[in-house]
Amino acid sequence: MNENNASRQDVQEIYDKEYIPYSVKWGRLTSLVGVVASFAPVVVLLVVFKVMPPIDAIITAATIRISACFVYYFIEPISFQPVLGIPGTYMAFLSGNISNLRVPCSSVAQNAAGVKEGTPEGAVISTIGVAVSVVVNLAILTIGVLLGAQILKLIPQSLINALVFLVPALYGAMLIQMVLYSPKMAIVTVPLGVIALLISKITKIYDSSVAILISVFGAIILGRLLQNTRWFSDEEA
Amino acid sequence: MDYLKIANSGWMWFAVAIPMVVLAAQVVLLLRKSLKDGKRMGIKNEQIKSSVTASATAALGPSVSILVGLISLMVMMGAPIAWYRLSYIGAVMYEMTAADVGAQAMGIPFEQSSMTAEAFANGVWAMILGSIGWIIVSGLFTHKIDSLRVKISGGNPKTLSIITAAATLGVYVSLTFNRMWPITSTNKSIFAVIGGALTMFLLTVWNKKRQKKWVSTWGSTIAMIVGVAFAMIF
Repeated sequence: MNENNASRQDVQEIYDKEYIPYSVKWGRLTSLVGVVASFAPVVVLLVVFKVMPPIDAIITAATIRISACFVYYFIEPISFQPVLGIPGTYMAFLSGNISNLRVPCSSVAQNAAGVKEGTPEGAVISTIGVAVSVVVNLAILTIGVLLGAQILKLIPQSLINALVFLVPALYGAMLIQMVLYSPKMAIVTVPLGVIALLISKITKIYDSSVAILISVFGAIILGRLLQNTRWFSDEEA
Repeated sequence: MDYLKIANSGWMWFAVAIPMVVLAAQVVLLLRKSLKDGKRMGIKNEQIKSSVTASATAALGPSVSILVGLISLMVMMGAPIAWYRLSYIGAVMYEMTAADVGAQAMGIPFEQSSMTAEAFANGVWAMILGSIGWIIVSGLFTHKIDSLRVKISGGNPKTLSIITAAATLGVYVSLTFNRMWPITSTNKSIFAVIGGALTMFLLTVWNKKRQKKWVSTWGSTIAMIVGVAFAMIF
């Protein structure tokens, strides 16, 4: 990328000394305040409407949900963080719909700006991409609730059926773009990811989200090992 | 009292507005800092414009899909909770299951006719308690996860760039092939993936020498549309 205003060291300096400390401080604080704030609806139900389910029903339901989701609490932030960058990760997880909306939008934004994942510029553009997706998603959902159920009549069924394919199409596009960016890396990481997923699908020893983790971490380790060899020429680094 | 009267009350809108204000605060704080420091890093206005346009168009389609999910959640849980859960932490599939589990734990079937205020409240409890784990983990550990990656790279920016590219490939290989399973001719997602990938491949190769800006801004949107067309045609 063009760097007429700042040298590489300056950029890294701004990133390390200002951008990241600020993002961690405020991102973490707002996320943790967000955890507390998410209880507002049940507080209102209790205080205003005096509606409180029996405590054992709360525990039963929560236990079912937490045990079903527990591994994902860890797998998803670890897997998606390299793409999203630090501030983008806080925002993506607080706003939800991560793999079907936030991660693709982050990648699309980074591609459009011509910056690479994992660089300071990548983290900045990813954050902008995720923030834009929050605004767009919120706008559409707000229009949706205001119009209510009749909005379903406004959207033709064929369009609803077609929309299902947007996300896989986008995944394919992003994958091929990454392959073209780093073809030598792709030669080893693509088979690894496919094998990890096939083992999950066929043997069902582990879930497909564990396959993402294996794919991501395996790729990181392979990337690290291959860097010591002469596998990468300068054009990819 | 009918539980839907509570679920759709002004008080519920007030309640869901509180977490949404926190999310808005986070977006404003982090976005403002990104724009400010991004400029100092030498990111040009053109790049920012192009990324905003691309992300906004890419967000449209999936958001309409989420909206369809929101409508079905709204029928059961009322508009405020549906709106709140699908803009905050949640995801469509997750929220339906949580609401269902909440009602079942009360011994009440998850149907509008049999739902009580308590069963509704228990669904909301289940949604919240089941989902805060993501925010706690990402809130507490995001920067630690990042420093792990920096540590693996040995602090070498070149290595960090290689392993991040590797990790990104890992993410998309898994997400993509997960949609291509099972490999049957009735799984139309396979054609969507192929259409999207093929379009992006052709556009990127074509643009390598030409460096047209519209390709970087609109490439992913074009790829999505062609992918959907592939899925509908084949």
